[in-house]
Amino acid sequence: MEKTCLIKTENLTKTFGKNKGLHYAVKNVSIEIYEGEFLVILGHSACGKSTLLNCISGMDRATSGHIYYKGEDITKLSDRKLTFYRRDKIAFVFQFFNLLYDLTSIGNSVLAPGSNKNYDEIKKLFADIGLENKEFEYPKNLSGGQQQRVAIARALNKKSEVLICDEPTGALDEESGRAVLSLLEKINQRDKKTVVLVTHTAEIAKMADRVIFLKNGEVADITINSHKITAAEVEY
Amino acid sequence: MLIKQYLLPLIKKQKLLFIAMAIMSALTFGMFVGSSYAYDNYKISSDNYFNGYNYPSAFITTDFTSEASFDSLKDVEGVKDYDIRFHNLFNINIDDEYLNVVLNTFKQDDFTKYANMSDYVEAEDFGIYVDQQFADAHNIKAGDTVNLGKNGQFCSCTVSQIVLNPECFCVYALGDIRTDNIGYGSIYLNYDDLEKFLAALQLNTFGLDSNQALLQIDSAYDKQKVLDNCCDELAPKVQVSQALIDEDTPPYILSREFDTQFSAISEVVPLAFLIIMSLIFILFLIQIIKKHSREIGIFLASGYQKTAVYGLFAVYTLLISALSLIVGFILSIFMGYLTYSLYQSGIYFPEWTTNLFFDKVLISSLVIVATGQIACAISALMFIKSSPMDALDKNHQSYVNLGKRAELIIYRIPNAIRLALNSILQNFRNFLVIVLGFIASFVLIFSSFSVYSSMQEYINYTYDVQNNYDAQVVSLSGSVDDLRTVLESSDYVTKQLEYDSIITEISCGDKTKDTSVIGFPSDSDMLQFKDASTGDKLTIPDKGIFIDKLTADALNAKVGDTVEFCDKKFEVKAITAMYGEQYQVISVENMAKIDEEKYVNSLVDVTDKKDFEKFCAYSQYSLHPIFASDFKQMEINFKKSFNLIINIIVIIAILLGFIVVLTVSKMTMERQKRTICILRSQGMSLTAISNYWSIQMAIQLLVAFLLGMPLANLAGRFFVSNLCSDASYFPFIDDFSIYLYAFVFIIGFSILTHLVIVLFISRFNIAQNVQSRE
Repeated sequence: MEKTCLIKTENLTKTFGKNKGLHYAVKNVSIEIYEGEFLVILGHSACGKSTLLNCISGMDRATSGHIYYKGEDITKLSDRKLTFYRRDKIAFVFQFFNLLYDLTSIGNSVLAPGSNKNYDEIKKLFADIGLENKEFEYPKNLSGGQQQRVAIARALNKKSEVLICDEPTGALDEESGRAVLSLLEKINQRDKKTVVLVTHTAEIAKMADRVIFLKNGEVADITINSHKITAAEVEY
Repeated sequence: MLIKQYLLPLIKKQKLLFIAMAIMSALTFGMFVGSSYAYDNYKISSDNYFNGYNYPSAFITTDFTSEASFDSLKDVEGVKDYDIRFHNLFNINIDDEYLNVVLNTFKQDDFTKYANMSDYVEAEDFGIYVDQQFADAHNIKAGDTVNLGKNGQFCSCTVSQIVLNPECFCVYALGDIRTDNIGYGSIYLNYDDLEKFLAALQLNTFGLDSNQALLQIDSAYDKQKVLDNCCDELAPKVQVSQALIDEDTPPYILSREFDTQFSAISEVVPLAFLIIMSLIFILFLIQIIKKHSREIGIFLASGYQKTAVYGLFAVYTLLISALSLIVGFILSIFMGYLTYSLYQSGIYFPEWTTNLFFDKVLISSLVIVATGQIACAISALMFIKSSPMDALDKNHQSYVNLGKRAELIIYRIPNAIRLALNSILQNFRNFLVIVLGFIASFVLIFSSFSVYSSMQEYINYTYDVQNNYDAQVVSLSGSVDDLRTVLESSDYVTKQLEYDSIITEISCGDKTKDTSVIGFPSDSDMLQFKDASTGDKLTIPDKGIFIDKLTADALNAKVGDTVEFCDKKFEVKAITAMYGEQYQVISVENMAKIDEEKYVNSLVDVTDKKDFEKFCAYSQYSLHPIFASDFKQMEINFKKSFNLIINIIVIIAILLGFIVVLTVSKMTMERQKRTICILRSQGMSLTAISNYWSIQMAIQLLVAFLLGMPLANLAGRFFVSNLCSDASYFPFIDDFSIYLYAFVFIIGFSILTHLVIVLFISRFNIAQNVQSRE
């Protein structure tokens, strides 16, 4: 069956600094992200994977090149339209959760504009991700893993087409990390949601349908996993 | 060590705050000292005008002995305009030589003409006025011919008029603009009412001591409470013939009022600003130190003493103070020079100098430095005292749990409102602090408006109103018996009374007698004539008579001579001067010419013969300035300086407000940058996020408005009633348009804040800020 390309980058370049201080975070990256796939972008620290993710998610603008979402070049979008893009198409999960600490879990989960505010459904979602009865807890009272699950709940509650995760287990212990990976796996397989995950852990990459290796801001390799492992099999 | 290592990074990291605080302090310092400069410049100018040292124009008087001399003034070089103000025919002057009490030579009709500033008509006959007491004692009637002589040489003169003793009455009225009554003039009362007044005022023996009379009038202001009671009862019966607060109000009174009130404005308002600025300073420093709590934790964990950490921020604050003092001093010099330039029209204004104000600069500098250090100490106490781990743990804040039911309602509210309400609730202390700041600003700004509008009303009433008003009596002088005599005269009560035209008015009281006066004031507590050289109280029956200059010339008599009158001998105790004041506007250039003619001192004492002669030599006419002051000019200067100060205060308030808005917004944005970027990353638009902040700001302003305006009203009342010397002159105006201004102010402030917020938010890099760790 032919795969539908959801996001495509063409010669995507992102630089920081000027003149002698010019640094290429991402250089001429051309990749495709297919609908419904579990894609892992793998690389060492500072290889540009987070920058690539930021550009794809519309949180940062590329220096040059193009990013197409379903054929529409988002690098040419105005700020306003880019905001709509982030709101409607992309859900982002951060390494350090980025929850608002003065809001409860439910408050955080409905943070994004257009989020589902039906309490029964939110309650069900929380139960689904292992946060039963945590709706009215403040993030401060939750563990790291739980906080990341609230962040995932916030992402899922947006009903967007792509879930982009930047090192979602980077700040978690093994158990919590595995639980979060399991949740992402479930979201991908059960809900058929496209998941793009950035990590520097090669073991996690084994969960992916495809793996893109980044090195010094450039695509070093793209592999297809013929033998995917489950989240439970990931060895830290 | 710590200072050396971290002071520069601290400044660089918080450079906007650093600059903002320095500018705020500089503005406040500038206003603080500059207002003093402005006031002092005004005061010098005012004093100079008041004392006759400074004039773009001058008063000149002449003896009205001939129409020719009067008309000749027109030809004096430099005289631009002139007007006759013949209001002081009976001019009581006390000096070393003589007392001026008696005058003659004019017929009654002429007095009336002069009083009305009509053309002068020379007297056709030589008549004298005789006071009633003397006339009774010697059986003299109006129309009699009497002999007046010296050393056996007599001249015959007609008794033009029998006048009442000049001490017998003097009625003043000052208005109260709180009750829409205003006026400085006379009142008419029947005797019964008058007695009630006198009893209530306890002024039945009120003395009139020449110029000191005005001081006594002023002192009577203190009896306002008595007056209030008194006048409630009698107000309907009290009428003022004319509101004379315009030109005829003596400059002594107004000058003092201006001084007091201007002084209050120029000192209290900047002081209030200083207090507000100190509060803002504290808030800012708290924010700075709070923002560095992690660094403080690291310093403490690294083994630095708390004093070392405190020292870092103390030096940081000191640098701000130092910078602000330099800028503020320049600003204050600028303000001082501005007001100095304002008054430079006077040729006797002293040279520009800053030495006069050194003490103020020093005190203000100390205040600014101390304010900074206190602010630093308060801020530091809140954070540096904590343990390293507390300082490092930024998430130690506990949140208010609203409960499930409330959350279920709240989370459905639109994002901007929900976030705003939540932020206020969860950061209630911050909310309160900001609201308090706004309240303080409201109180300051709008109570200043109250004082300002009251001041304006006062000025308007003082200068522009010249109508009839009901009035409350402030002071009365004269014995009850004499007042009764005077007031029972039906002719008299149709006339206006003025303190300085007693004889004129008395003579008006007896129109049928077409004659003039010689007066013998009796020994009385009412008129306390004193010998200026000895301080002895003078009483005529004991010591002699007063005669006017014309009579003295006719008799060739001088003080101490013995003259014969009605076959009796009297010692001349005083020779009076008879003045008609003529208002001459002389250009500065021409006054300078007079100055070049070695007419050195513009304060001309009429008794100083040398000055008199010098001036006469210059003018070639019998002219002599009695005081070279132009009160009108002082009034203009007062208005100018007052408006200048108010305008500067308003500009500085706006600048301060703008800086505070900008800085607080920036500071809050910086602090909440990560939150904003999280919201942005979730797809919340710029408008929605800025709305979230604006709603918070609007709520803060609204709460501050509701609480602050009543307080501003109270503060305004306090300022007006306590800081200004004369409440009857200076009422609190309950102007509801101030509330409208406040509302417009809030709208403007909110829009400004909104724009600033949008500007800041749009420049945030989402990707970078969401990467930051907790």
